[in-house]
Amino acid sequence: MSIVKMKHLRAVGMREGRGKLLRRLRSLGCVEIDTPGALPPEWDFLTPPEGDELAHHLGEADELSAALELLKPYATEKGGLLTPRPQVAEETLFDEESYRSALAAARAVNEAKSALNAQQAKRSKLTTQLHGLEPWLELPVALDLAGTAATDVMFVSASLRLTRAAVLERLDAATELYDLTWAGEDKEFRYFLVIVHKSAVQAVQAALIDLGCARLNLRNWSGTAAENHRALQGELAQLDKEAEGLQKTIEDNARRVFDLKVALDKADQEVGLERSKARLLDTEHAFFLDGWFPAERETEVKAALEEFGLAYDIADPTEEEYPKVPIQLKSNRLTDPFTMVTAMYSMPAYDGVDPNPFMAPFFILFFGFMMNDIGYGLLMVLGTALVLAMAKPKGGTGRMMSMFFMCGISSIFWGSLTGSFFGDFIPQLFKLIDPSLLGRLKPPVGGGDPTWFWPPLFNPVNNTIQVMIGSMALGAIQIVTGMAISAVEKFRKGDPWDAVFDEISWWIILGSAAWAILGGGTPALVLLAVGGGMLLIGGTRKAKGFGKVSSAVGIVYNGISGFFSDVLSYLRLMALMMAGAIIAQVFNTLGSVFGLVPFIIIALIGNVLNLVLNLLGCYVHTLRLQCLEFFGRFYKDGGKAFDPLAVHTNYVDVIKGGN
Amino acid sequence: MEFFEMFGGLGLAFIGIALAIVMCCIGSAKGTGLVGEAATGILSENPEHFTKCMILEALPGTQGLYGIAAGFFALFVLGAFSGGIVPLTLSQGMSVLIACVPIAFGGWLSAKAQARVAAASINIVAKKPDDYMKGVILCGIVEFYAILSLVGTILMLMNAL
Repeated sequence: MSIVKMKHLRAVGMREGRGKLLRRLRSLGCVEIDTPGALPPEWDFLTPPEGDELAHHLGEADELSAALELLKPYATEKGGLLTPRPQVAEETLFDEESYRSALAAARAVNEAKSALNAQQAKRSKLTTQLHGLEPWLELPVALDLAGTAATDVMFVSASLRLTRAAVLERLDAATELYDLTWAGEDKEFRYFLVIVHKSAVQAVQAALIDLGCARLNLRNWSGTAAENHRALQGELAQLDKEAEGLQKTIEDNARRVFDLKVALDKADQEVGLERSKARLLDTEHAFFLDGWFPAERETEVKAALEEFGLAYDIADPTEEEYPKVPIQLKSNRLTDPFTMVTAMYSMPAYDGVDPNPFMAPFFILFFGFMMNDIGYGLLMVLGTALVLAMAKPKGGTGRMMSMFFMCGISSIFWGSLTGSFFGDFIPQLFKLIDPSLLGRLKPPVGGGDPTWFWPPLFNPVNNTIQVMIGSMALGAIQIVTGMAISAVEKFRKGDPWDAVFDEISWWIILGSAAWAILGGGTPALVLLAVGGGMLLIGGTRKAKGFGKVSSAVGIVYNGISGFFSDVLSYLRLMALMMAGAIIAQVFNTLGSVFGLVPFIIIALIGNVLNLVLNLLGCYVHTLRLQCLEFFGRFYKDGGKAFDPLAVHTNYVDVIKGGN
Repeated sequence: MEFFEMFGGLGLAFIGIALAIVMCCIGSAKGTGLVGEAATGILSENPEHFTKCMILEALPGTQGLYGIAAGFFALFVLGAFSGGIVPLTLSQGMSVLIACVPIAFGGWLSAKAQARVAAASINIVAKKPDDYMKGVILCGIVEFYAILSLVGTILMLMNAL
């Protein structure tokens, strides 16, 4: 409901035992360690701590996440939106022994994987060699057969297009002093061995070239092809066996996935701790800490600091420090989900306003106004309630779900005013089942077809003008609220004249203008003139000379055009309300043409599609109205979110125990 | 003029309905195609982002839906689902035709524009998968103009006859 008051902490301690102190602070989860601001020059000799530890923990985190990635296909546990995260005690998370064991498992998995990869290369080399040997299998001769004093040995390949007869014929024509042994064939070549007398080598070579044959070099083998083939097959089998072992190592560790997740969460905590540590400043034996914590936690922080014997100074932030103060919003269950929206825009400045309590009602109201359907609202409420009850999500998902839960209730509220349940599903259904059922439905207050069990107040398609005026009125209310917040803030900060000139003068103008239009006569016009005068005096009070004229023109033009364009922007409320209603109607009508069963199927598919489209549309446009039209009136942003040194886990929820 | 009279009002109205449907469908087809192409790049490396990419791809697909909704609503106004279509005068037919223009062009061009945002948002999925909703929100802003076109068309159709 407000911005939490922060305290500025500066402390000096001894480096010995610093790790324990930081762990203690992390367990407290309420101190953000900041980079110190401007320090006196005599502090220049202080240096940030070395980053070795950080690199070390980052490396271990990488190993763990790589192993988890590898084990993903074998993991048996199922996660999902409806499964809550497992709970783990803080001591279990930080237990060094189980961490080491999980890290060892991760290393085993990673090593097995890289061994498997290395094997893959070896395996393909062996397979290629195996294929190369296959044509020579029938040859009873060693592949490294050397010639004798009188003979030469040639291993030759010839194209398959060349018949055996053609080869023999050509060689016969060259010489008689040769002996040819046919080996095998593959898809393209036939292979053979020629033993030739030294005197005929040149003639045979010429003949072979003539035939387009190639002489192969098989010197790197020893023994016959069959022997080598057997040996290679043996090696491959050995590789298979090894691979099986490696694969088993990986699969065996799949049951440790949960341990690895816990270990990765721990490694991430260490990384976070080191990142915070990197913002400290060191001397040889001591260190300096600059940080922030919420004022309400002062006793706990003090106790921790005293326990570790730190010399400290705790102060309220000075005005010059405001831009550096981290922002934490204090929320109740109703406004907390909207922190997500505020954070997406920008956190408020420390001396600004927490916009959540003001924005939340409008957000919920507008979302429901655009969605305005009992059926869609029910689906939203049930869906989000289911997830919230089953998985108890924390953080962003939890906030998102709570927000849509509230918006769902608002959709049901508006839907009950327009009598819309999946569009005109009910009357269409009754028409198909038994038209006499329609008698149970009531027409809208303004007249028309019967649509709902009680008389709807209006219908977005038929009462366009009313809906249009209604959306602009809602817009005007929000804008005036924004101006009121701004005015109150200015009073609070001791600038009442700013509030009078910038906001109150506009209220007088708008109110009296409305009064005049409704027939207020002279008094209304006088009031209007007073308002105009106040605006001009206020708007030009800081300008000089001719600047007064230009700033007067500027303030009137910008004020009027800004106000009206902002109000017109709220027409999107009407547009989305109508579009959703029409698309639902179109699907229902389309389905009803074909009979009862197709009606239910088509209407179901169409309405689900429409719901999804509307969820996106309503969210985006509510968001826009808050961030642009509403925040623009009063919001002072620029704070950075409070990010204390704390336990932030991804896979498990930590239950706080003693330290 | 003779040509138009020969057509009759109904012909003009049907031209309008056809335009509303076909222009929107062309826009959506081009749009989803563009995003789909962009998505294949990242999916070849990170197949686990499929759902996110599919959501982004589906976004420019809604204009086709709006087109068919508008066309359907026009047929509904003409009485196609409540006892058959009655003959229209030339000016009535012209009104229906003009009424279909907003969604025809608004749907067509907004689908193409939205597709470019969605295709660029695929980069967010590639680099920061957790932030991809921001890309969807950016696309939602463009979607609004298709919705406005649809609302405009529907408002005009309700008053066309």
